[in-house]
Amino acid sequence: MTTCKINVKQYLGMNISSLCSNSYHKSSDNHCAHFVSHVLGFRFGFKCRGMSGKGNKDDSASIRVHEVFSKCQKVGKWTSKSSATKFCLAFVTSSSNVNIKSKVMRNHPRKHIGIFLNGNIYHYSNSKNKVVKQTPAAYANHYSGNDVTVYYGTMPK
Amino acid sequence: MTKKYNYLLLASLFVITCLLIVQNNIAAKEETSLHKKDILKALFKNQDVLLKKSSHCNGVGTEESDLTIGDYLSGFWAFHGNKNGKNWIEVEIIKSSNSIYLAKVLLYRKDQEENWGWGVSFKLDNKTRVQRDSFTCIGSG
Repeated sequence: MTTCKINVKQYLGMNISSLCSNSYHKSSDNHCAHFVSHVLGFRFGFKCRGMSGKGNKDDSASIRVHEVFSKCQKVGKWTSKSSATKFCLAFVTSSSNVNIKSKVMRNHPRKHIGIFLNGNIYHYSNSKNKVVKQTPAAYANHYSGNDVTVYYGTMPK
Repeated sequence: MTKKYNYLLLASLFVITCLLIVQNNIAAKEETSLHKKDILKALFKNQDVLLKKSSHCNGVGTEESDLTIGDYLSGFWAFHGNKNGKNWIEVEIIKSSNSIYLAKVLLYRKDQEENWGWGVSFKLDNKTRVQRDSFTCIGSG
């Protein structure tokens, strides 16, 4: 089981400008996957430097939720996650956007990602423009809709 | 002789400076020769470019059946039909090299936690001829 060696709590309240050295900070853009990727060091797919055209290639982080989802070693419904898992990724979107078997999430605009650690989900609130912490139950209400579902994902290699 | 040489040198420098100023003015005019409407028209004309032949476009469509740049952008643009929140587009033109421009077109929507910007960048010349192999899908979330 993967353990978290990062103090995720230290990022609470931070704006993305404190995390990204590549000048990709516009509040009109979505930074949920961007935040997660800088903290956990995800460097695959399309990255923040590709958006800003500035900064350090080595510090460029992934910015797309569906690309992170498909890189997870294992994905599933949150309700099927082992209670022993204390550290993983937490996705929320409509169930019609997800195919667990093929590990595919459609690029629907209403999808979100956070880091689950010891009972809480740390994620970037794009309405508050800062990192926040929520319980999984509260996180499940991130979007309205009957089929909105939370998924877990184990860390990409 | 030395005086004559100095005059000649100064005159040459003056001519070179004038030429550079004229050249820069022409370049500056070139930068403004394309308008946002030209960029959007060029994009519509090339909506049939395949996602699989473009950079970073794998899986960007809102539907699995999306094949082209037009399919992809239509999927996101359709969300602008929602009157709640704020919908807008951004069109940017950056000079890339001699007579080649990099255009960026992004569709944006902001409604509480639904907050996104998705679009494309592509290269074109000052006659709006698009380099069809230059399309890149841009956006996050």
